[in-house]
Amino acid sequence: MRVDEVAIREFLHTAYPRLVAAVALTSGSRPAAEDAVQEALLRAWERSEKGEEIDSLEGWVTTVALNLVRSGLRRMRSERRARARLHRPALGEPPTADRIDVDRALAALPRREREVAVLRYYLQMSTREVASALELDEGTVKSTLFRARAALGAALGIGDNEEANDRGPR
Amino acid sequence: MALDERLRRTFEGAGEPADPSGVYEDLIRRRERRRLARRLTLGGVSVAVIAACIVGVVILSRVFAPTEPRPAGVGGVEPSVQVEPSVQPEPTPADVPPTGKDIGLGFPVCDVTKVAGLFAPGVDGTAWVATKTGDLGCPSLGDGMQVLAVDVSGDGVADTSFGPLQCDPWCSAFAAPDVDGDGTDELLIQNIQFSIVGLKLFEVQLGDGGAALGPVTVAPPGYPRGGLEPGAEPQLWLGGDAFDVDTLRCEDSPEGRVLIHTTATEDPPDSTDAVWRATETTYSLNNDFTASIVQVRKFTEPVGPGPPSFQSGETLCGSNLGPSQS
Repeated sequence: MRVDEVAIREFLHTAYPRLVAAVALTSGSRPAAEDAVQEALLRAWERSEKGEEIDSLEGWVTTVALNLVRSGLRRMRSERRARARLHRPALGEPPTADRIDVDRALAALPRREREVAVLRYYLQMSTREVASALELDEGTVKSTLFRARAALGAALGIGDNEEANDRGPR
Repeated sequence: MALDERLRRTFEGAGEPADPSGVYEDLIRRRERRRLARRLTLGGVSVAVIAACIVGVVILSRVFAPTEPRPAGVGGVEPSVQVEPSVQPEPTPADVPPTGKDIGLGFPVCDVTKVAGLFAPGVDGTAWVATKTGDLGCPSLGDGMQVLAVDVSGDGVADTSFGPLQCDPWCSAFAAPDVDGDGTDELLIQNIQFSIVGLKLFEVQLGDGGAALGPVTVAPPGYPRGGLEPGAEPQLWLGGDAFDVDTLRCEDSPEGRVLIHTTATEDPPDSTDAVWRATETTYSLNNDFTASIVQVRKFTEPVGPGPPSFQSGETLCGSNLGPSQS
């Protein structure tokens, strides 16, 4: 597909809000997530202008944004820049109880499990799409998801049976 | 499945979608800045290539220039080019056999980088950053346990070590500057590999029990407002991109030598009216593996054609940091 102004604007109004939220869940940093997604989008735009074919803008931006945000340095510097640019405090509205619980549960997971879980459960990608976004094979995604699922269930106090289901999340 | 559905619902409640308004305009501005930076970089590289070609031609013409006839029996012409010894680290992974090498730690190491320094008065020593070799040989760079080791006595064998190092994604030896001006060197280890260099400061101390090595931490009261809590290891930076720059330099004062870290941002980034907005943190090294923060100063200065005032130190306390910028 050709990445032009129309495609960018459409992406911003469809995929961007949730993708930023997803990257923020994996990285724990909202400014870093915004910076990484915007940087990835800009790179897609520039590559398309040079004639490179991008099959799925959303998939491409997801992969690149996650790669970018993995760098701790990028996170630190982008937060610094974001704080300098924004005329509002670094922390916005207070997080919801769900957000706090999920943040804690995700923070306890290894990076790969965290990314797999967020792409699967928040962006609702299929295992094939997760594998493509993270450049893993499907088998690895499934086994990683299995471990993440068990750890998240335990950390969030939700189980895989009716009894646990009735208790509801903490 | 019940758990999958519960997780989906929980994640749905946790995610906070971003507001896309104004993002397109931000992207346009970012793209313009990127283009400007590329043009500046291209110009700089072009100048450097031309200069290198000229220097190369001059050197080659000297090396191959006709020489005066020599008496029989006298050797040939010695090349006039000499490579200056450098204290820059010399990554040597390619030279290290898969089984690792012995630097006196009691286990083989690989991915060795080293830097020369005076860690005892008047003795040429060496500091290494190396990865402990695993059962299957040398792990991928960044995967294994990395340690810092120092040969204080000059016999090529480590006398003291510290590890594991916290690295992103790996560490390397960087420089051995004399940060406190006492005649022996401290160590700068690169702990973050990125377009700008992330550095940690280490100190070697000699005592009756031998040499001791450890990271330098912030002495109380520190500067918590700037993220420098007492006991924290200061993260130093060196380098920059188009609009951000970090510098390190030493200054001698009546109270002794201090290390100054300056971090500056060009504001606005691509304007003729731009100024550097800088924060300067001054450290004074103590004798107990701590450094006192003696001053934190914020200032601005106009962005001019030359380097900013705080970038004057192309050497760090006498330790070569690469090509001169002057």
